[in-house]
Amino acid sequence: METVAVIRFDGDFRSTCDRAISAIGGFTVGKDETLVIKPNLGDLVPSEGGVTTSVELVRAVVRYFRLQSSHPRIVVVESDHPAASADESFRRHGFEDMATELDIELVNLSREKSILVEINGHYLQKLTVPLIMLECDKFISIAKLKTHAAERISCVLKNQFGMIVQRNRRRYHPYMRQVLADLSELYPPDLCIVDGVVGLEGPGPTFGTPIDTNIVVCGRNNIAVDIVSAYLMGFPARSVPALEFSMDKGLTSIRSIDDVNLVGDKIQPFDFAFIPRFSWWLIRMALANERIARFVDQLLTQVSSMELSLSSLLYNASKAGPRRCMSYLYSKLEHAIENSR
Amino acid sequence: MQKLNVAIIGCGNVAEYYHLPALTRIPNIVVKAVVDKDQTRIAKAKQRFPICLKDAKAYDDHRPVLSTKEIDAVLILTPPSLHAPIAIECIKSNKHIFCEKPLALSSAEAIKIADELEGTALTFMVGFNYRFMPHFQFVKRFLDEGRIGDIVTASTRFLTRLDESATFQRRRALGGGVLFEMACHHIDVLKWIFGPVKAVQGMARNRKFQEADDNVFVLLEFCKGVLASVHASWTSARFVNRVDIFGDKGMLGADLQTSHVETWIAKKMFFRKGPRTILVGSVLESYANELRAFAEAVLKNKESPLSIGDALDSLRIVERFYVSSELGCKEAV
Repeated sequence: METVAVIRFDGDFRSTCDRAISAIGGFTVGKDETLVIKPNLGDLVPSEGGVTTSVELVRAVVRYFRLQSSHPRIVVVESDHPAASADESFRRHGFEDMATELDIELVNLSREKSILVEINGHYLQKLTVPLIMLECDKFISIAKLKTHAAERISCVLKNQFGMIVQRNRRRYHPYMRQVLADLSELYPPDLCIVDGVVGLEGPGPTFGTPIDTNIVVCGRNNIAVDIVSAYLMGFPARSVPALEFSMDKGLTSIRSIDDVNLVGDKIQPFDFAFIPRFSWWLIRMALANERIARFVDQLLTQVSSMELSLSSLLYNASKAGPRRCMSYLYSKLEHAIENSR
Repeated sequence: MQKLNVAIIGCGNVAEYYHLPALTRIPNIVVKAVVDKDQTRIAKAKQRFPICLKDAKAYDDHRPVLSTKEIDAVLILTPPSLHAPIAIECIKSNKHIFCEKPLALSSAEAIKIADELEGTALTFMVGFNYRFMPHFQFVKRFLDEGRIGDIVTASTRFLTRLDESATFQRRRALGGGVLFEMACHHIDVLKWIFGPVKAVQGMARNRKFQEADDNVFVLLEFCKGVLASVHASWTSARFVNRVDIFGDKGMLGADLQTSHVETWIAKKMFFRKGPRTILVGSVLESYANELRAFAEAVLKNKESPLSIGDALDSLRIVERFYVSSELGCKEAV
């Protein structure tokens, strides 16, 4: 059973962080290992606004690692996002000062040298992977406890979205569940921390309302940590599309909060406000609509690129005979779908 | 843009399938002449590649071309037995040379070319295009960065069924044989990656061919201590062209049938589920890359990226291999 710790923030990031990691059995850092930390800096709103990961929490985590091993290489990564470049985010959120102080590296994934990797995943067929991720021995995701109008919550799984290096990631939004599952398999975190010192409720991930939740969630399994985070926000695990997808596809054996060994402080779930149910369904329908529109668009492109007009398709189908007509059309459709992926 | 005027000598399969398609993508190489005994080949090539052959005059002998001042360089794309005599005439006519591999039929012939070249300011490049393949560019970069640690061993396989229409490839005396004609690419690329070869040992057999080896196993010992095997066959039903390099921290496997390099680095997070498939460019890019490198070396007066010395070393290794195969012992190179 996966262990997840929920720790009350006592006003000191360092002691809270130490207690959280110790509660899950500690975290070993080997000699000369490269540790990559991915905070959520997907906006310029400071951590007090409930949108981005607190630099103080990252600082506390780095100090914890430094105590485990004398010279691990610690790299904090983030990619450019529509609001600003990662470099700008690092500067504005105080990561540059921390990097100088603690002798760690900051890497803008969008500018890092990269390679193209074949994935054949649930949605992604190939992905640009920054070279730093090839050097990574242990990957640490430090996300934020916040709602997401389209994905219900934005915690550890959603933090992985920033591992896509392209600045404009909008085109992946309709396929978020699949993309997050792919990224989760590609970059499995060894340590997941959710910064819930200030959470965000309402229409997240940017325009919600900050809420003083004063907690830190910590675990080794990203899905377990997200299930606990959803529970703390007052959402059932299956109401989060990315978690539902992982469960349905058998990517995890954890089905609910009952399958997680909760340790740490006794904290009652918060009842996070969310967008009205009607708005939620409207957004989900809009995303589904976009998927359909893209599918039809790809299908038409495919058909035209195959120089296969509808009339010739029907002519060939009719030539196939009444019995084989449907199977012929089905095979053509299947071929078109396969090629459009 | 500075342009290089070239003449193509030999308009057979190598020119038609590889070099002419590559030349259509290199605007600073202008083909001014094409030489082939068979004029129908030239006519066919002109029809297929009008972009790069629009200014090219057709010849059935290379000598008048060499006396043309307009020509700066010559691409020798003939069968191996003609490489040395044509190359020597080109050097005498003061033309820069790009010569397909293998450089000559023997190291003695290659030395004659080298002697002729000595003291001239001409650029001489041998067409070992594997060095310019995106696969090996990636592999070399990764190895130079030390990502798979110290190299322990390497293994290459080139297996295919030789086309029925192949002629000189079936005769050792004309520069054929699976090692001499084809697997020399693997030897060259290993040499490029690991440095000079110390010793060679192996076996060559004629399973189907009468006058040339069609199956070979080569063991190479490099001065750095790396051991490598090259396995080549021209009688296999299945096509395999692959180079695997193993280090003490990981492995790289370049699969030349696809645009993939399989990569695995021990203990690293990204490779916990096994090797990852890195997508690199297509094999055909190598021909354009090598010709670009040749043009740049000539036009900018740079050192040849693949000198006659490199090709001579490869020839010596192959020759020592044949001696080893006959005597059944290890041969120093």
